[in-house]
Amino acid sequence: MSYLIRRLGFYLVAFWVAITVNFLLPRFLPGNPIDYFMLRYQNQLAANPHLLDSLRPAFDFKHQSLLVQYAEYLKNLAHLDFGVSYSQFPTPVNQIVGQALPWSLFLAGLSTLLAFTIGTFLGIVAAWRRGGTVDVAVTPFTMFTQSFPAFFVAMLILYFIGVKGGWFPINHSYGEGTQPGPNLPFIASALRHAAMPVIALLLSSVGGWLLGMRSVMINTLSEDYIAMAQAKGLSNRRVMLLYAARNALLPQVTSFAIVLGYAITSLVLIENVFAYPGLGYLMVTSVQATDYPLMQAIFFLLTVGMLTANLIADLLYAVLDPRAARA
Amino acid sequence: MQPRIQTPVDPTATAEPPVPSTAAGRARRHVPQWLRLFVGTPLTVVGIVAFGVIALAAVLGPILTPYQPLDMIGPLHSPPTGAHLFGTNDVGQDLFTQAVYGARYSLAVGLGSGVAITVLATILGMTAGYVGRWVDDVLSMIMNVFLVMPQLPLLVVIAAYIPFKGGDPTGAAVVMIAVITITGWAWGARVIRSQTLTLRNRDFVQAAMVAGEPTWRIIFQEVMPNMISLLANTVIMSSMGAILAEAALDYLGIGSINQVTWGTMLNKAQANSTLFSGEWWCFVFPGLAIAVTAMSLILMNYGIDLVSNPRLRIIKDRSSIAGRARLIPFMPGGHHRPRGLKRGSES
Repeated sequence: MSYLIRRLGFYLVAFWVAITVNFLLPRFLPGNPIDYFMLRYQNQLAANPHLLDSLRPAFDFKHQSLLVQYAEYLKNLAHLDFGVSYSQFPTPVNQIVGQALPWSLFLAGLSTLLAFTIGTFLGIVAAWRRGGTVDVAVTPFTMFTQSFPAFFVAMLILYFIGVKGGWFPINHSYGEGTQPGPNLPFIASALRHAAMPVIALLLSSVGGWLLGMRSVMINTLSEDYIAMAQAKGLSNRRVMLLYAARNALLPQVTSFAIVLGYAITSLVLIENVFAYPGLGYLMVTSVQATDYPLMQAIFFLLTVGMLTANLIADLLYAVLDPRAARA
Repeated sequence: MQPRIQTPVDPTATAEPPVPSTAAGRARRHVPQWLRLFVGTPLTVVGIVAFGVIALAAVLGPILTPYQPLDMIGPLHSPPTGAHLFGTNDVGQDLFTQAVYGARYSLAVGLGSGVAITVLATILGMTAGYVGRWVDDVLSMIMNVFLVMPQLPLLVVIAAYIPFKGGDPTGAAVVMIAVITITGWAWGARVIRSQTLTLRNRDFVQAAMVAGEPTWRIIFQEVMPNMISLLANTVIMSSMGAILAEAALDYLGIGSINQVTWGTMLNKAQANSTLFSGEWWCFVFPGLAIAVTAMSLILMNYGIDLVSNPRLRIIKDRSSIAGRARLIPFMPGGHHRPRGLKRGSES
């Protein structure tokens, strides 16, 4: 129980740090967001001076004390009110983010699921047959995934599979002719559009799962109960999957934090290569358009997503391995 | 004693099997074992050579090419030819020249960040591990918070507020190094902290404490020498991370957008739709440059792991998720066979 409280406490602190960083950055770094905004919307502002009123609390730093601003900021955050977008004025940030979020979740969820399954399975095989074909291919492959930047791999895929091969649509998330909703043409189109980003994400994340599983599995294989299982005359497949892999799977959960951090990084980059309308694409667009409210909201979402996923991994680990909670 | 270090230019000579223990053989080469191990691994040699070539290109830069990176000299959209090794882009700039100048920027930012991160991580990690108590609690908390923040989005947000889009390459590189260091030190600090923690409880350090050696002496004479390989790993892997991060920011068009870097070359390639017009040379060469640099660093890191004491490689830190997960890459995996298992007998 105290384990849970400690972890929860940690994530609360991390959450607080993240939102405070989000608050402090625009205030302490040079470059004042509201100046950009005034520059950009000079004409509209001349016609309607009240336009700025909704933005002042969030981005006018000069007239209030930092504490008052902070209180205001926290209040808005508690209501999940991120204000109005600069670049698509006056659409609320929430609406824009709401359109992008499902696509990112779809992409990240699908690719993480596939990467975990494929990587873990290959890791099992590589550890079981040390020095075998899979194992020998592992080291070069993981070096490849670690050194080839995710976006370069994505560009190569886009070029060779998308443009030259013409196998999959090269940008956006679904075809123009389809109607978003639970209908077959739309789902088929969405899957086809997700294909290349997912392949790129897979290539960049499979290696982590694979290495993790392999290294844990090698340790597990030297346990006495494996020797015992073999001595009993159990089939190799049974020993491999039900005795070794099953026990080695548990620590894989702990790789989650790092794999996820890497996945978010890759997601931001790969969405931009394929112009896939998710959070990563939106984030970069918002930075280029100096749309600070939008950018802050996305950073907030990505951080919360990462913290939540880590928390879940911690809790899951505590449930699956009671020793962790007691330590 | 200063060991005579052979320059590892000739891999075939150093990659020979163990020296015959004749007197002549011993007199001929006096290479320390770690160096022999390091340059005796084919993969490491590949890494050293690849990195050497890129570093040389960066240093020699202006000698290798008659053009300036932004000169519009060649024909437009030219594929690689004898005159333009990497081809030219949409305004006739020579891409080989750009790649060479990009190497200067990328390596400067990468190695600069690598060193800066290692220094910061060493100071914070060793302080946490050595002093312990509440200092450790506070510093560990900070490290863990940084580890659960998504690094690239954080970089993007910081880069968005920092006006380092100026034309001065040195200024841009310094700001870039600072930003990458601030967001990227936590992992190294964690590992160094764990290592310090285990070293601090070893007998020889305890003995030094009891003997009343001053703290700075214990840290620099007893603890630090046992972490050399770890520090080397940290420099190399942080440099690689920094090169990739810098390239990513530039590629996204929010990094050093007014510099000629591998990242901005890729950014321009994408912005000019070269992927759709079939001008593969516009993105393949800068991308490969990044990949080869990163790969060479990984290979050298692998070599260091081979050389260093296996026990130094495995740091068991079970206090948090991140601690347990890492250090899995680059372990040669050991060559022990699982007890009681006949390898591959199932097939």
